[in-house]
Amino acid sequence: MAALLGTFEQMVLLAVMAAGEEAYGRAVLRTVQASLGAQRTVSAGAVYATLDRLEAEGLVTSRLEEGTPARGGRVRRFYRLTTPGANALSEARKVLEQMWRGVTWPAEVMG
Amino acid sequence: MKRIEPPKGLERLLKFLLPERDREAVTGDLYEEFCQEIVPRLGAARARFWYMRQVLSFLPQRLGWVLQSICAFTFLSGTWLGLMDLRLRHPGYLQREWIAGLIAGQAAVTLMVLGRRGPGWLRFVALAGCVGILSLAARALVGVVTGANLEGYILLIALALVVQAALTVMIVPRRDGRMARRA
Repeated sequence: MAALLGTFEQMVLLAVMAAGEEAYGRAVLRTVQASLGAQRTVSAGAVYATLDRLEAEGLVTSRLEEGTPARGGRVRRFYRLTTPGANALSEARKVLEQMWRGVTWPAEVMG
Repeated sequence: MKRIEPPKGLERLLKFLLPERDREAVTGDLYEEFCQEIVPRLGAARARFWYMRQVLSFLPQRLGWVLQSICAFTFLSGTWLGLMDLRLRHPGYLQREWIAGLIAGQAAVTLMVLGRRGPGWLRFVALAGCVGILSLAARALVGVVTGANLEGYILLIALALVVQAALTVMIVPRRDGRMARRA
Protein backbone atom coordinates (compact mmCIF):
# COMPACT_ATOMS: atom_id res chain seq x y z
CA MET A 1 0.00 0.00 0.00
CA ALA A 2 1.19 3.51 -0.77
CA ALA A 3 2.58 5.78 1.93
CA LEU A 4 0.22 8.13 3.73
CA LEU A 5 0.54 11.69 2.51
CA GLY A 6 2.04 14.32 4.75
CA THR A 7 0.28 17.59 5.54
CA PHE A 8 2.36 19.67 3.15
CA GLU A 9 1.93 17.15 0.37
CA GLN A 10 -1.81 17.21 0.89
CA MET A 11 -1.79 21.02 0.70
CA VAL A 12 0.19 20.99 -2.54
CA LEU A 13 -2.09 18.36 -4.09
CA LEU A 14 -5.19 20.29 -3.04
CA ALA A 15 -3.69 23.48 -4.50
CA VAL A 16 -3.04 21.67 -7.78
CA MET A 17 -6.63 20.48 -7.78
CA ALA A 18 -8.00 23.94 -6.91
CA ALA A 19 -5.95 25.70 -9.59
CA GLY A 20 -7.32 23.36 -12.27
CA GLU A 21 -5.93 24.13 -15.71
CA GLU A 22 -3.79 26.96 -14.32
CA ALA A 23 -1.81 24.82 -11.87
CA TYR A 24 1.78 25.86 -12.48
CA GLY A 25 4.44 26.23 -9.77
CA ARG A 26 3.86 29.82 -8.67
CA ALA A 27 0.08 29.43 -8.76
CA VAL A 28 0.36 26.40 -6.48
CA LEU A 29 2.70 28.33 -4.20
CA ARG A 30 0.27 31.28 -4.02
CA THR A 31 -2.67 29.00 -3.18
CA VAL A 32 -0.75 27.22 -0.42
CA GLN A 33 0.49 30.57 0.94
CA ALA A 34 -3.04 32.01 0.90
CA SER A 35 -4.29 29.02 2.91
CA LEU A 36 -1.60 29.44 5.54
CA GLY A 37 -2.06 33.19 5.88
CA ALA A 38 0.56 35.83 6.57
CA GLN A 39 1.83 34.18 9.74
CA ARG A 40 3.75 31.47 7.90
CA THR A 41 5.87 31.83 4.80
CA VAL A 42 5.95 29.00 2.32
CA SER A 43 9.29 28.43 0.66
CA ALA A 44 9.23 28.32 -3.13
CA GLY A 45 11.93 25.66 -3.06
CA ALA A 46 9.82 23.40 -0.85
CA VAL A 47 6.81 23.69 -3.16
CA TYR A 48 8.77 22.91 -6.34
CA ALA A 49 10.62 20.04 -4.65
CA THR A 50 7.32 18.61 -3.42
CA LEU A 51 5.79 18.88 -6.88
CA ASP A 52 8.81 17.06 -8.35
CA ARG A 53 8.52 14.32 -5.77
CA LEU A 54 4.76 13.96 -6.23
CA GLU A 55 5.31 13.66 -9.95
CA ALA A 56 7.98 11.01 -9.44
CA GLU A 57 5.49 9.08 -7.30
CA GLY A 58 2.84 9.36 -10.01
CA LEU A 59 0.46 11.48 -7.92
CA VAL A 60 0.59 14.39 -10.35
CA THR A 61 1.51 14.65 -13.98
CA SER A 62 2.94 17.65 -15.80
CA ARG A 63 3.03 19.15 -19.26
CA LEU A 64 5.13 21.94 -20.72
CA GLU A 65 3.74 24.90 -22.56
CA GLU A 66 5.70 27.22 -24.77
CA GLY A 67 7.11 30.35 -23.25
CA THR A 68 5.77 33.84 -23.80
CA PRO A 69 7.69 37.14 -23.98
CA ALA A 70 6.42 37.88 -20.44
CA ARG A 71 8.45 34.87 -19.25
CA GLY A 72 11.51 35.71 -21.30
CA GLY A 73 10.49 32.95 -23.71
CA ARG A 74 10.84 30.23 -21.09
CA VAL A 75 8.49 27.27 -20.89
CA ARG A 76 5.80 26.91 -18.24
CA ARG A 77 5.13 23.58 -16.51
CA PHE A 78 1.52 22.83 -15.63
CA TYR A 79 0.57 20.12 -13.15
CA ARG A 80 -2.53 17.96 -12.97
CA LEU A 81 -3.73 15.55 -10.32
CA THR A 82 -3.72 11.88 -11.38
CA THR A 83 -6.12 9.17 -10.24
CA PRO A 84 -3.58 7.72 -7.78
CA GLY A 85 -3.08 11.28 -6.50
CA ALA A 86 -6.80 11.74 -5.93
CA ASN A 87 -6.96 8.34 -4.22
CA ALA A 88 -4.03 9.21 -1.95
CA LEU A 89 -5.72 12.50 -0.97
CA SER A 90 -8.96 10.73 -0.30
CA GLU A 91 -7.25 8.09 1.84
CA ALA A 92 -5.37 10.70 3.87
CA ARG A 93 -8.61 12.56 4.53
CA LYS A 94 -10.41 9.37 5.52
CA VAL A 95 -7.67 8.37 7.99
CA LEU A 96 -7.64 11.79 9.64
CA GLU A 97 -11.43 11.99 9.83
CA GLN A 98 -11.53 8.56 11.43
CA MET A 99 -8.98 9.62 14.04
CA TRP A 100 -10.71 12.94 14.77
CA ARG A 101 -13.97 11.11 15.35
CA GLY A 102 -12.47 9.31 18.34
CA VAL A 103 -11.04 12.43 19.96
CA THR A 104 -12.67 14.49 22.69
CA TRP A 105 -11.01 17.77 23.52
CA PRO A 106 -10.12 18.09 27.20
CA ALA A 107 -11.81 21.07 28.91
CA GLU A 108 -8.51 22.83 29.69
CA VAL A 109 -7.48 22.80 26.02
CA MET A 110 -10.88 24.06 24.91
CA GLY A 111 -10.85 26.94 27.43
CA MET B 1 11.70 52.53 -20.75
CA LYS B 2 14.07 49.68 -20.12
CA ARG B 3 12.53 46.64 -18.48
CA ILE B 4 13.97 45.71 -15.09
CA GLU B 5 14.98 42.07 -15.13
CA PRO B 6 16.09 39.67 -12.39
CA PRO B 7 19.80 39.93 -11.48
CA LYS B 8 21.79 37.76 -13.88
CA GLY B 9 24.11 36.41 -11.19
CA LEU B 10 21.22 35.25 -9.02
CA GLU B 11 19.54 33.70 -12.03
CA ARG B 12 22.70 31.74 -12.78
CA LEU B 13 22.85 30.62 -9.14
CA LEU B 14 19.21 29.51 -9.34
CA LYS B 15 19.94 27.45 -12.45
CA PHE B 16 22.83 25.82 -10.64
CA LEU B 17 20.61 24.95 -7.68
CA LEU B 18 17.82 23.46 -9.78
CA PRO B 19 17.68 20.04 -11.43
CA GLU B 20 17.98 20.34 -15.19
CA ARG B 21 14.35 19.55 -15.95
CA ASP B 22 13.12 22.44 -13.78
CA ARG B 23 15.59 25.11 -14.83
CA GLU B 24 13.65 26.76 -17.59
CA ALA B 25 10.19 26.49 -16.04
CA VAL B 26 11.17 27.74 -12.57
CA THR B 27 13.34 30.61 -13.79
CA GLY B 28 10.50 31.50 -16.17
CA ASP B 29 7.96 31.51 -13.34
CA LEU B 30 10.17 33.76 -11.26
CA TYR B 31 11.00 36.02 -14.21
CA GLU B 32 7.33 36.55 -14.97
CA GLU B 33 6.39 37.30 -11.36
CA PHE B 34 9.43 39.53 -10.87
CA CYS B 35 8.73 41.69 -13.93
CA GLN B 36 4.95 41.81 -13.80
CA GLU B 37 4.14 41.89 -10.09
CA ILE B 38 7.10 42.40 -7.82
CA VAL B 39 8.92 45.30 -9.50
CA PRO B 40 5.76 47.43 -9.90
CA ARG B 41 4.73 46.66 -6.33
CA LEU B 42 8.04 46.88 -4.46
CA GLY B 43 10.39 48.84 -6.69
CA ALA B 44 13.65 47.65 -8.24
CA ALA B 45 15.83 47.38 -5.12
CA ARG B 46 13.34 45.49 -2.96
CA ALA B 47 12.36 43.35 -5.92
CA ARG B 48 15.98 42.20 -6.22
CA PHE B 49 15.98 41.31 -2.54
CA TRP B 50 12.74 39.38 -3.09
CA TYR B 51 14.39 37.50 -5.95
CA MET B 52 17.39 36.65 -3.78
CA ARG B 53 15.08 35.20 -1.12
CA GLN B 54 13.35 33.06 -3.72
CA VAL B 55 16.67 31.75 -5.01
CA LEU B 56 17.93 30.94 -1.52
CA SER B 57 14.77 28.92 -0.83
CA PHE B 58 16.09 26.33 -3.29
CA LEU B 59 19.34 25.96 -1.37
CA PRO B 60 18.27 23.29 1.18
CA GLN B 61 17.40 20.74 -1.53
CA ARG B 62 20.74 21.24 -3.23
CA LEU B 63 22.50 21.17 0.13
CA GLY B 64 20.92 17.80 0.88
CA TRP B 65 22.41 16.46 -2.32
CA VAL B 66 25.82 17.90 -1.48
CA LEU B 67 25.69 16.36 1.99
CA GLN B 68 24.83 12.99 0.51
CA SER B 69 27.89 13.29 -1.68
CA ILE B 70 29.97 14.16 1.37
CA CYS B 71 28.60 11.12 3.11
CA ALA B 72 29.55 8.92 0.17
CA PHE B 73 33.01 10.41 0.51
CA THR B 74 32.95 9.46 4.21
CA PHE B 75 32.14 5.89 3.29
CA LEU B 76 34.97 5.63 0.79
CA SER B 77 37.46 7.39 3.03
CA GLY B 78 36.42 5.40 6.06
CA THR B 79 36.89 2.14 4.19
CA TRP B 80 40.23 3.28 2.84
CA LEU B 81 41.47 4.40 6.24
CA GLY B 82 40.21 1.20 7.79
CA LEU B 83 42.16 -0.86 5.29
CA MET B 84 45.28 1.22 5.88
CA ASP B 85 44.85 0.85 9.58
CA LEU B 86 44.67 -2.91 9.22
CA ARG B 87 48.12 -2.79 7.68
CA LEU B 88 49.61 -1.12 10.72
CA ARG B 89 50.37 -3.70 13.33
CA HIS B 90 51.12 -1.53 16.29
CA PRO B 91 50.55 -3.31 19.59
CA GLY B 92 48.97 -1.81 22.66
CA TYR B 93 45.93 -0.05 21.27
CA LEU B 94 42.46 -1.05 20.27
CA GLN B 95 42.29 -3.85 17.79
CA ARG B 96 42.55 -2.25 14.41
CA GLU B 97 40.07 -4.70 12.90
CA TRP B 98 37.45 -3.35 15.28
CA ILE B 99 38.21 0.25 14.45
CA ALA B 100 38.17 -0.43 10.71
CA GLY B 101 34.98 -2.44 10.95
CA LEU B 102 33.25 0.18 13.01
CA ILE B 103 34.25 3.03 10.74
CA ALA B 104 33.01 1.14 7.69
CA GLY B 105 29.88 -0.04 9.52
CA GLN B 106 29.01 3.41 10.74
CA ALA B 107 29.52 4.85 7.27
CA ALA B 108 27.32 2.12 5.79
CA VAL B 109 24.52 2.79 8.27
CA THR B 110 24.80 6.52 7.61
CA LEU B 111 24.52 5.89 3.88
CA MET B 112 21.50 3.67 4.43
CA VAL B 113 19.83 6.38 6.46
CA LEU B 114 20.57 9.00 3.84
CA GLY B 115 19.58 6.77 0.96
CA ARG B 116 16.30 5.59 2.42
CA ARG B 117 15.56 8.49 4.76
CA GLY B 118 13.55 5.88 6.52
CA PRO B 119 12.24 5.42 10.02
CA GLY B 120 13.43 7.48 12.96
CA TRP B 121 14.98 4.52 14.74
CA LEU B 122 17.42 4.03 11.88
CA ARG B 123 18.58 7.62 12.24
CA PHE B 124 18.98 6.97 15.93
CA VAL B 125 21.07 3.85 15.25
CA ALA B 126 23.27 5.85 12.86
CA LEU B 127 23.73 8.57 15.44
CA ALA B 128 24.45 6.06 18.22
CA GLY B 129 27.00 4.38 15.93
CA CYS B 130 28.67 7.72 15.35
CA VAL B 131 28.88 8.39 19.08
CA GLY B 132 30.21 4.89 19.76
CA ILE B 133 32.95 4.98 17.19
CA LEU B 134 33.81 8.53 18.18
CA SER B 135 34.51 7.38 21.73
CA LEU B 136 36.58 4.42 20.49
CA ALA B 137 38.58 6.63 18.18
CA ALA B 138 39.11 9.16 20.97
CA ARG B 139 40.33 6.39 23.27
CA ALA B 140 42.76 5.19 20.64
CA LEU B 141 43.96 8.73 20.08
CA VAL B 142 44.74 9.19 23.74
CA GLY B 143 47.05 6.18 23.39
CA VAL B 144 49.08 7.72 20.62
CA VAL B 145 48.95 11.38 21.55
CA THR B 146 52.45 11.39 23.04
CA GLY B 147 54.12 9.78 20.06
CA ALA B 148 53.06 11.31 16.77
CA ASN B 149 53.10 8.33 14.47
CA LEU B 150 51.25 7.43 11.33
CA GLU B 151 48.55 5.58 13.21
CA GLY B 152 47.79 8.70 15.21
CA TYR B 153 47.28 10.73 12.07
CA ILE B 154 45.08 8.06 10.57
CA LEU B 155 42.91 7.94 13.65
CA LEU B 156 42.73 11.72 13.73
CA ILE B 157 41.44 11.77 10.17
CA ALA B 158 39.03 8.95 10.97
CA LEU B 159 37.81 10.98 13.94
CA ALA B 160 37.15 14.00 11.73
CA LEU B 161 35.29 11.82 9.25
CA VAL B 162 33.11 10.34 11.96
CA VAL B 163 32.24 13.79 13.30
CA GLN B 164 31.40 14.88 9.77
CA ALA B 165 29.21 11.81 9.26
CA ALA B 166 27.41 12.46 12.56
CA LEU B 167 26.75 16.04 11.51
CA THR B 168 25.54 14.83 8.14
CA VAL B 169 22.99 12.53 9.75
CA MET B 170 21.72 15.37 11.89
CA ILE B 171 21.73 18.07 9.23
CA VAL B 172 20.25 16.31 6.20
CA PRO B 173 16.64 17.45 6.03
CA ARG B 174 13.98 14.87 6.74
CA ARG B 175 11.84 13.88 3.84
CA ASP B 176 9.24 16.58 3.60
CA GLY B 177 5.74 15.74 4.63
CA ARG B 178 5.99 11.98 5.06
CA MET B 179 4.02 10.89 8.11
CA ALA B 180 4.29 7.14 8.05
CA ARG B 181 5.12 4.32 5.69
CA ARG B 182 2.86 1.33 5.77
CA ALA B 183 3.76 -2.12 4.57
